[in-house]
Amino acid sequence: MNISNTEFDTLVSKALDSNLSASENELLTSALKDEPNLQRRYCNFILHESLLHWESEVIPEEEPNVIMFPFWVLLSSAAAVFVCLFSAWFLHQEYSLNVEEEQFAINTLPVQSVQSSEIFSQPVAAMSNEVVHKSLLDDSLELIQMLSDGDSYIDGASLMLRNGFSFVSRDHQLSTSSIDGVLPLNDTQMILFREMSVDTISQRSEAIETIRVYDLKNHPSNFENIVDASVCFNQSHSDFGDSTEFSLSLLAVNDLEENNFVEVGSSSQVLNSDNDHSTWERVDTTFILPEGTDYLVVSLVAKKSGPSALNSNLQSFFADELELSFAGI
Amino acid sequence: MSTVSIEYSQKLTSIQRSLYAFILSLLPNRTEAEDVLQETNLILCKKAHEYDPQGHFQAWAFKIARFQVMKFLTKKKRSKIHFSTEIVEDIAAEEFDLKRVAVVQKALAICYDLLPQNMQKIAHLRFKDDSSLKTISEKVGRPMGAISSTLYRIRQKLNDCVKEKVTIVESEMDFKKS
Repeated sequence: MNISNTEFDTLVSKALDSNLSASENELLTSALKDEPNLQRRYCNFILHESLLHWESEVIPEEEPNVIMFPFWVLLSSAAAVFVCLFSAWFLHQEYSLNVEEEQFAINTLPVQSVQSSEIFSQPVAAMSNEVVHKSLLDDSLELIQMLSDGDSYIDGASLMLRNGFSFVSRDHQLSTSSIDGVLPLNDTQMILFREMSVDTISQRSEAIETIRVYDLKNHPSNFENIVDASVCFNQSHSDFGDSTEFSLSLLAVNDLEENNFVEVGSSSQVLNSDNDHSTWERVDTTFILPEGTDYLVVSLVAKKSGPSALNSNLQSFFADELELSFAGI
Repeated sequence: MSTVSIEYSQKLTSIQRSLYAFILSLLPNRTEAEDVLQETNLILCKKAHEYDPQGHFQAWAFKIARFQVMKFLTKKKRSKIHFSTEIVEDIAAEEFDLKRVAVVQKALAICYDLLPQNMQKIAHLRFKDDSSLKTISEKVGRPMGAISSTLYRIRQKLNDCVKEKVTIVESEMDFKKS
């Protein structure tokens, strides 16, 4: 079997991190079969791994860094703490007096609670959209860079060529077999979202996965600049969970000079899924690419809001059967 | 349970590193490899009376370990990704010979010190502390994908370096003996 050392080493490394998909496992198995050289190479990696894990002689225990400060530093620190505490007490006393004076006036203003909720909610919503929007482009920068440099391996992503389009894919990196009672839709693999990041103040949580980046600089001549995309979403069951907002986002990016990438258009299709782990829900979108699109970024987003967002770590979120078709191809 | 002689226990203790490495090569998952190692040690203690002192102890122990891995694989076949039994039969036990392991261990210690600080930190978390990629990602504040590719580079660097250093270490060890 023909497999480069780089490919082989990548598979072994993934196997040692328990990060190997079923298809990669098959590839590694067939590479090892009747190949004494690769078997020797494999055994070397394993031996290093086990020695590093087993032996304290190889990796010395990390000693905590204890810094002995001179006495005057300790004394001045204690003095600083005392000044801070006194200032805090003094300010508190001042504030309490003012509050007592204004208490009656505040209690007669029923509008106050409405004002405060507006102040709280509006910027949070705006900020959340801004964060998602920024992350889609930010997340894809590394992959775009990989595509333009022609790197074959970075951050677990793979460089691929299909129907005349070259693209970077993280499908394999994020793929998993059946877990948490959720079965893949057709074959044995599906995409697993990373754990959601949670904003406890706004009670929102989200996970964004930039799954593919297509190079459209050198696309086939008959391509008509229209992309149809579809994907299915699902989530594991949780007694604390409810509906999750999933979206399939397509982002058109223009490469200005010197790796300065800007967004020139986007399309996002949102779906609110149920809490039933046995059903997959499909979302479709069509995107007409704007003039000057050099890269097409495909991202999957899962979001939750409200109290269930705080328990989002109790659930897993999945996507499967991501399909892109390019008009004219 | 059979009584285990001091000599037998010493032999068993001396091959633990190699035995673990061998099991890990057949079952590249640390937790599972440790479980099988424990099971193999138990069997080796039970079968102590069957061992012929004139025979090759490591070869005998590895044979039992290979059988234990096969047994484990048959049990777990449906639930996880594992090597086929053909591969398990194919992997050569000689790669984990005691003398070779001792040389590689010394070379590896030299090579580990040559790793850049940031790589040493990730290597310590993964290899010594047995932290998951997710935990390392949280501790060092980098995405999981970046951790995965750093670990790949660490393994490659160590592999290349050990290849270089092994001959130096071997000649040093031979010199000390003479």
